Amino acid sequence: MISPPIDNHSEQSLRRIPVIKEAGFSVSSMFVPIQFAILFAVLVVGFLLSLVSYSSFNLTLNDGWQVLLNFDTNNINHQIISTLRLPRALVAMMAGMGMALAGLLMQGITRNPLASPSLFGIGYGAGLAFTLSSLGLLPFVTELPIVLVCFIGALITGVLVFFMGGLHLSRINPIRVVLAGVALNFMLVSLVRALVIFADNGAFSIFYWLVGNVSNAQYTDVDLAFPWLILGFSLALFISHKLNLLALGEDMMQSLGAGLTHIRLIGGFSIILLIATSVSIAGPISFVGLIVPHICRFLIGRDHRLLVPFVTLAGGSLMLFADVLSRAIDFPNDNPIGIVTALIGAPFFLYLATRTRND
Amino acid sequence: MFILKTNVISLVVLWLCMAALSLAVGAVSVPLEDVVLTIISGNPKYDFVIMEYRMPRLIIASLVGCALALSGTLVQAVVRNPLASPDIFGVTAGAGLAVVCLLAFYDQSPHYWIPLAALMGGFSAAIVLLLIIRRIGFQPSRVALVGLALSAVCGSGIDYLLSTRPEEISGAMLWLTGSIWGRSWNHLSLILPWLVILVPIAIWLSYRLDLLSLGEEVATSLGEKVNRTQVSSMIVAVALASASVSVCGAISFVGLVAPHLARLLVGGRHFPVIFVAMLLGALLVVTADIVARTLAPPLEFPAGILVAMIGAPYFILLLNRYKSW
Repeated sequence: MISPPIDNHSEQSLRRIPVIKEAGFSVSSMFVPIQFAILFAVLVVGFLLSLVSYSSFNLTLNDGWQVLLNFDTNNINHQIISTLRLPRALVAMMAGMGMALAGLLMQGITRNPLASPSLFGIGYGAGLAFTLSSLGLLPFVTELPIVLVCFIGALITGVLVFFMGGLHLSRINPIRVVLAGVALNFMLVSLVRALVIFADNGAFSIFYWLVGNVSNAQYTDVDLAFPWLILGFSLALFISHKLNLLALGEDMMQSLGAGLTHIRLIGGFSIILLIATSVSIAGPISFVGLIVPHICRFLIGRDHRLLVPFVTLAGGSLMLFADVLSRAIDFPNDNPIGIVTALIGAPFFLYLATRTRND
Repeated sequence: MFILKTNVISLVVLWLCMAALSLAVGAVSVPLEDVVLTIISGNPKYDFVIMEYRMPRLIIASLVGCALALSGTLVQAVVRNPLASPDIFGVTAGAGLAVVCLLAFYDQSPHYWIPLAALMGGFSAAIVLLLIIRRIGFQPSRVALVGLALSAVCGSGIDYLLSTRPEEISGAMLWLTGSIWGRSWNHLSLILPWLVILVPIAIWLSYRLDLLSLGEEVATSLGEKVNRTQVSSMIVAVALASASVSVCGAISFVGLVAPHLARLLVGGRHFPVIFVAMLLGALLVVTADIVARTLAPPLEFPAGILVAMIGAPYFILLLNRYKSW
């Protein structure tokens, strides 16, 4: 759906910021289109698999393809795919894109390799707001649109983490912010649990919601999230080359004439928008925002102008395959998708933790 | 010494007040004079509520608070990091994973296996953490980070098991958030022996930990076997944390908050800190338990949720105080 702006990486655009190239950002541009093409193919394959795999009905790859190209209203398989599977795949993909991109921006702005929506507690902030509104405990909140509610929740948590973790100080320990986020996470999860116990709902539904789940996805979710996702993506692209400057250090960035406040405000707005959108359609899915940017940086280098579209595609692909796996691990039962991302992401976090240096 | 005495006395008085309150309030309120009479001479009207239901609960809450606070004190002394706590070491998550595994795979097993499984799980997680730390170097903040990551790994395992076996969720959820609901005299035998054995060891260790707080080089030059003290303190801490987790689930943040407040009250020497921290831990858990069951009776919140809601903001405040770390 998003054609990767490969032109951004042309020689001409690189010449505008010579520092970047010398600082080791140059990826041999010959492979970049190939990498994008491969990733796009992976995304398409993931999408088709997510449409047809592990169903109690005999869906074939051909069905999935046909639904997209020429839809037949009399075919039961087509109906199943279009009413159940298609919104589900779209929601999974969009939530993954939002979370992964938010993670990339967080890591870029804080220059902290461990920054991510779930570790900083922002995902659960949006989650708490969602719970408050969906349980109807605060009457005036219930009347607001759900994205706005999640946005407010994410915003409040984001500001809290920002100051408590000391992100406004010039020199901060990356681990410190993570600890602040984890403590905040603990508190928010406790609050959500207390609220749900208070509202006397089943433990099952709260568990599903806290882990992150796409099995009840509908087209309204897709319509709801799409414009915000596009806005977040555009903002991310807009600040991407400033993120490259920021990677050189805050002093260097300011001496090159780029404003720090500017990038933090736009980036922060974009991060919170992306997280709020993803959480409102799929719940606080963990670890996608942490692992995808790391893998992408390993694959394609550190140029944020390429990373923004690449991470978006990769986040979508990861979630589509996670969706397939979430049905596969205990077929014919359906598991929340957040389980799969946690099972993949937590060991990856452990690996990162053993490598992160204190200095 | 005077400060210590007044502190200890006032904490004991406070604890007695809370204990009386804990016996009196709940779904059925009992007048305070009846509480006293029931304990002294017995009263058929309230005997069951107080002696069989609220008394074991009060005692177990206090003991668990003591154990967690002591464990936290030892961990913070060994790592020499004010932000360390048994929770951050993955002990709690490891114990949780073991219990959920037991519930999921051997649901026919007798209920007294649960504490044993929790104990084993907590120990295993601590051993894995130690092995990783040995390889990458002993540095306080990294210990915390790797511990968190280890907790995340265990947490993802718990999530997986819970979602594939949904019939276990309610029980496991209650256990995982930490609750003192329905604990009886039988549970006393799971925590009391540990405390009886380990508290004297902790007191013996406290003088060595004072030396350790001067720095490893100084402690070594004063003739202290640093490594032995560190390892034995860690073992005691992990055992205490696992034992308390095994009785009433994951009550987080007690081990972090209590030692801090204790140091704030009586200074840095470990001998007084241990006692004051234990009293504070007991006070904290008992208070949380009272609030948990009086907030919306007859509904009960898990006490762990309330402790987390007090503990997490305090933890964030601490982060602001230790700027250099």
